[in-house]
Amino acid sequence: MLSCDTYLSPGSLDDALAAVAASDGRFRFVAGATDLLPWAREGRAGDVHVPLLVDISGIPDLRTIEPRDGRIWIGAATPFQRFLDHPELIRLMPGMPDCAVWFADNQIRESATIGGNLVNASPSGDGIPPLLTANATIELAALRDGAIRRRRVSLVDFIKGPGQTEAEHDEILLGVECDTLEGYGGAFEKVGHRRSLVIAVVCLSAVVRLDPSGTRFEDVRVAIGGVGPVARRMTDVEQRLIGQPITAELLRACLVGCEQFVMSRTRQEYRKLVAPGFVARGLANAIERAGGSPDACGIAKEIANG
Amino acid sequence: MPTFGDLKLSRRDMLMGTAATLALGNAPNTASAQDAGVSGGAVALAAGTPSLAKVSFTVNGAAHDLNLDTRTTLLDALREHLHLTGSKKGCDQGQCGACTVIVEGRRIASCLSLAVMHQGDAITTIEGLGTPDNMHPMQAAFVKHDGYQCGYCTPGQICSAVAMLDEIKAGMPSHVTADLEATPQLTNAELRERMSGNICRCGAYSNIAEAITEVAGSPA
Ligand SMILES: Cc1cc2nc3c(=O)[nH]c(=O)nc-3n(C[C@H](O)[C@H](O)[C@H](O)COP(=O)(O)OP(=O)(O)OC[C@H]3O[C@@H](n4cnc5c(N)ncnc54)[C@H](O)[C@@H]3O)c2cc1C
Repeated sequence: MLSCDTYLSPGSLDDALAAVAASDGRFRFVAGATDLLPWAREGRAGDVHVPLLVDISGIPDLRTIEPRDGRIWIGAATPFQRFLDHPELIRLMPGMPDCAVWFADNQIRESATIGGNLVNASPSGDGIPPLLTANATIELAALRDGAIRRRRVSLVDFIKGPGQTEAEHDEILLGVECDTLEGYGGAFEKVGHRRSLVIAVVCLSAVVRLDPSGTRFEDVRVAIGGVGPVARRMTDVEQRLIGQPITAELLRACLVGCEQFVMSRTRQEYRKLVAPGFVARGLANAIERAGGSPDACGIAKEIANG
Repeated sequence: MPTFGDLKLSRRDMLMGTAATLALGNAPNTASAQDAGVSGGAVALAAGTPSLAKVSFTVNGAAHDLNLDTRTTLLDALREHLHLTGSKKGCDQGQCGACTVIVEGRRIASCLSLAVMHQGDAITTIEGLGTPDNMHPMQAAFVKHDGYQCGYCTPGQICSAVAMLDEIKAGMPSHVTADLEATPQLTNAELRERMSGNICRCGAYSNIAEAITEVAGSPA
């Protein structure tokens, strides 16, 4: 079980950082606790004592969702369920709702936060691929020499390996700033041992923008997770598609070599079969949601169905 | 054996504890994907008397001030301290739904939430939805349709179903909603998907679906 001497729920960033500074490093941040509590249970870490538990979910900036500098700010304490019911998020982040419906179940999504998912940095964290396709920038804050130091890191640089991030122990992840992708079609593909409540064996996010006729790719962004130590953008695939008319030939060509992204230690063969299939299916679903012409949708579906 | 970076502690060390608390800063993490990220900065050992913390919230309309061991989950606070034993402990890891309660109008897994995290919250449990003499429509429908066999998952199923119908009303899509932007309809497929966080080992799913469908007022 997880125990602490003091549980704090600071109402401001200043208070949170001051409490952390006074704790001599003996603290832990907590948001939804959906990673922390199961970890501190029998069979995994067992009894864990943290002198100070700092619940960051009450800090205003971490609870904010708003436009900023032409992008959208999503506070770290935003639970995944908000991607399904927050109108602005649905409009500007078309890659997320589909990710959220694949994420755990309704009960967990109501607690599980985006910040927790990023700091946990699981190779199969479902929130990571769609945020990669939104070119997410992470904002961190810590107390340095008595003043708040804020810094920004791209998500690509933030996650360094399984469970390893750029965040220092006393740095709070404030939130992510993302490209607004209004008018894009988004899709998320995931497979695990069953439909609900599973760790992804492979997960993939695709967002596309088409020309007004719905027959040509204007922008394509694809990211894959679960197949290596960190989730990655599939830039080769993207480059082959951007600016091109949607044809069967093009779609087939872009699948060649997708299996190179599979670098996991286990289930390589299976994942290498799934990866190109997910690219095809993700693109087909995203094309449909981006307003693809009946022809374009038909072609993409056919390729996705093998 | 719990591992905090390079430091390995045996279960016995953990149980016995020591007077000094060990802080490990930003320790490297364990190798398993499941444990990714969580182990960094962990601190080992629980020694001496448990730490208590005060928390106040309302449960089913009644205000409660509790002084709890900080380890206490919301589920344990409800069951062991307030003796509201309707909410059940099934898997204790957020995977079965038996502990589902409604917090500020939203359903959560109470086993994966610390009680101290709920300062000021309004919580509804199965006891607050209705009583045997004055059942909530969802409770009455479960009785009528035999939406259970052993009954262990039932309080969670009912709390989940009540919150779920509100989510549909609010237009929240699910995995089977064809158009994520259109208003979802309560089809049988929608209902089953949305209730997928509540597991019934007796397999009373058909009857559960009938009960919920009746309350929602649409044919299965
Ligand atoms: C039943 C179940 C199903 C799940 N299903 C999925 C799934 O389908 N997909 C998936 O990706 N994950 C899943 N998870 C894992 C988990 O729910 C997610 O990783 C979640 O996003 C974690 O967020 P949290 O707020 O609960 O994190 P917490 O447990 O509160 O924290 C996780 C880690 O992040 C740190 N932290 C949290 N917030 C901050 C911050 N703002 N700044 C600095 N550090 C911070 C904490 O100290 C801790 O190390 C599941 C978990 C359970 C129990």
